Amino acid sequence: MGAIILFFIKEEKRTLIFNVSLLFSLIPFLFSLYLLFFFFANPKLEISFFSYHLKEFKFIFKIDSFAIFLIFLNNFLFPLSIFFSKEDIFFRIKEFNIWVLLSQTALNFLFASETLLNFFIFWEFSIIPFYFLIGIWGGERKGIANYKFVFYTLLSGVLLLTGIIGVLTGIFDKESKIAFFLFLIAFSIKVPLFPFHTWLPDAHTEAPTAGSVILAGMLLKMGTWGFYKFLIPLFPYPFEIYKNLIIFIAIFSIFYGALMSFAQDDLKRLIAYSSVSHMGFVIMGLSTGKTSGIQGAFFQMFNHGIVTGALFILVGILYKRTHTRKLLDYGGISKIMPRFSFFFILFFIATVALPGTSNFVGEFLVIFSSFMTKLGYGIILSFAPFASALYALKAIKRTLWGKIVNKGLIHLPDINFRERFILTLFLLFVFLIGILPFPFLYILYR
Amino acid sequence: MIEDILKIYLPETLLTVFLLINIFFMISRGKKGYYFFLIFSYLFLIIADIISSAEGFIFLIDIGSFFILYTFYLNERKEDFCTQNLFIFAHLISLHLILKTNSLLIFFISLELLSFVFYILIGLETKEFKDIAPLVRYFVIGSLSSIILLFSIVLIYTRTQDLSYDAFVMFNKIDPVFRLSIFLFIFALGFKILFIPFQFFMPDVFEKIRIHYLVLISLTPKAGILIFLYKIKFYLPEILFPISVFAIITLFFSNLAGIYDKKIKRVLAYSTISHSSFLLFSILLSEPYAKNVLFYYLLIYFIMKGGIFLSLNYFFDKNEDLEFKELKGLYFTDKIIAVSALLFILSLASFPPTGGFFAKFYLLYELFKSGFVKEVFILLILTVLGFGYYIKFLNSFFLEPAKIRKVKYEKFYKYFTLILGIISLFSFIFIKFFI
Repeated sequence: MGAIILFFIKEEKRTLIFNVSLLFSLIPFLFSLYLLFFFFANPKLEISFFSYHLKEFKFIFKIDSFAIFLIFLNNFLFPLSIFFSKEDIFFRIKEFNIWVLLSQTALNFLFASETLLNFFIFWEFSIIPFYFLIGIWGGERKGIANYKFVFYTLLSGVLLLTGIIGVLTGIFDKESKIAFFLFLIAFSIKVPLFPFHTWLPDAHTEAPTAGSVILAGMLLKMGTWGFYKFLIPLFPYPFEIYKNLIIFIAIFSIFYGALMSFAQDDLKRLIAYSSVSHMGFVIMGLSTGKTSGIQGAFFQMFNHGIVTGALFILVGILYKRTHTRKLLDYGGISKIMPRFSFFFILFFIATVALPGTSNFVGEFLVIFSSFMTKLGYGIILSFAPFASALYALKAIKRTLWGKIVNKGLIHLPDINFRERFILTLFLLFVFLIGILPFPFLYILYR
Repeated sequence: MIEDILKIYLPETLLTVFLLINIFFMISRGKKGYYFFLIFSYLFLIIADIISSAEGFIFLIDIGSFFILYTFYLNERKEDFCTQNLFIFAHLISLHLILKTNSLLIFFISLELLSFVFYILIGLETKEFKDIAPLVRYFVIGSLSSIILLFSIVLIYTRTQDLSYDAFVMFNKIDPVFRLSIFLFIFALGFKILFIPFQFFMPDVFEKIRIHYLVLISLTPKAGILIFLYKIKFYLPEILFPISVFAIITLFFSNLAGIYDKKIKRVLAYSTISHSSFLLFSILLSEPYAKNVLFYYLLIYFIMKGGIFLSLNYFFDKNEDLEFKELKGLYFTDKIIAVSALLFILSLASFPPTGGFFAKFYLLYELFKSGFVKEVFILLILTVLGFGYYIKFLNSFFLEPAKIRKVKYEKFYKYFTLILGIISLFSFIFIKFFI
């Protein structure tokens, strides 16, 4: 609706475009906030709001306590991204807002999809807005990043569609290993798990800030949601057989992502690789099959959306002022931009999962469930926060501390009110969940 | 008896009368009333189809031709229109006969008439001598395939003394002559539906044809031959396996070649070949799925393919050899046309929730159900390959900075294209009538 209205507004009316876009982005946010409170009161509630049967094809949309978690996150990130973009996007703003609103709608419907076919429709549809977001407002290497993103995602779509057709026709049953692997690889590309992650650093790095926030915050969750909603319930037997393989890949992704992140010189790539590590935690939690593991995985999904989203905004703020993302070009920022540094440190601390922050709750639950699954998994995973600390400390040290090497940085303005407001909202959730996780744990209890 | 035959062949009889009236218009100088003649002729044709209880495919082809004719009439050089329409009537007669006949001989004659119409249409448009080469090649290979087709029919006749489709049933299946005749029959038809290796010269021909005829060549004859193959499979199920193998190989090579081509017409040619190959797979299905899938896919294909030609029509009018780089930034010059083109391209590339996706999904779903699991997987992978050339449209229309000047489309034409684009987006609702 908002996208259609935007189409008829003149490009010159910049403020009006952003306000209309923000308004239409906030409506679902308020609605999802209302629903979230509804679920706090009754976690076992299931709200079915659309159902259509066309012979063997079913289109059902339903919201349960798990879906609302991601729908809320989705509707929280999009308005903030639009709000931030007002000072970040300066050309083709109408189109930008149209694509952002369309992707918000697509993702809302995706997380509410109860049946495979409508899930796939929104899975594929979500490529289109991101293709334009990266292709038009992306960085210097947007062309290659876009091709990589589109082809990886299309490939995942092909595998998923083959599996879906097989399930719908009844040829692939609960024991079908082929179908299991088709779904597994399709979701692993989107998550992304090693070795299907190579599209992610490029897409994240080249996307505009709002695109990176949404990519990290929501697009990766499509894969993990698919894991939870369809892969495990549809193929329980192959899942049991190959559970250890998935856990091994998840653990490898956690450490690989963290070490690759440590090796990066580009701040945005550093955060992008950290996503591989965090999403490994999510898959680890889901694969344990324990209640605490699933709770941890959902917490981790939410936290990753919040923390990584905030970090991408911080990089966006810095890039807007310095036009560089190279760590070597920074140094001594804490002396020039103290408020910026305050947020920068807190969000990086959150990625390391320090107690009191939201990531701690998620990672703790996942590690706890890993111990319950196998002692060895738990012991290995206990070292994961140390691996995260490597890249987090590197980023903080190279960016904030030390001498001001680059003289051009001396007159950088600190973050303004708009930026502070956005980052404070993010920070609110980091500590709210970190200190008071119980209401959220309650709705994620099954 | 005669009344029955007249009733069955009423649309074809009417078409012949219209063709003669059209000739009268051609030789008379005044063109007054021609526009009304066309509207009424198509109206009567549809009524005749209803009276003769024609099958759905014939309705589809008639309405499709009418749609192509009139949408292009809006941007057409009016003085040429009368001549072109003569050939369109002739092509409709041949298509009707192909779809109605049960005789191999009439099928052959109708197919020749169809090819003849296109040789003339293509030849009419050739402006320079150097352009003739691909057309001559088209004509020579076409003639050669006709000879082979005739030879295969003769072989069938010598063994069975029958020229109806029943001859295929009567044939002794282990007879080497049967195998030879079937091989030649499929080989010759391969030219008409652009099987490998015939598909490689088709983009050259496409390049030289005016877009108005290109739409026609891409849509109705393809549909005609596909429907014929769909009918013949009941008599000759042996053709199904080679068709599927050829279709996959053709799809692979055409999608690969499309990625590297820079000219829009050639890429659209590859897209036609790709969709024809997909459509061929619907023939492999059992009844009633084959008919339903073929009809639904053809309907969607008519909308999306017709639509993309329609949205780029004006640019082709200015430059027949249009390249992607020449349409850079189309979005900045004409938003409505660019958005319409986007919807058609997404549908052609089978992105959900467009009609193109549901057409392919329905086909693949039924194929999977019939046990063609490997084929479905290969087809899906090749669809990704095909996206390699559809993305070039989006890149040049939307991502690149503006290069073309603002064009002046008629308002009605522009909004008609947009409405068609929206229909293409929501045409998945039609699937309800085919499941």
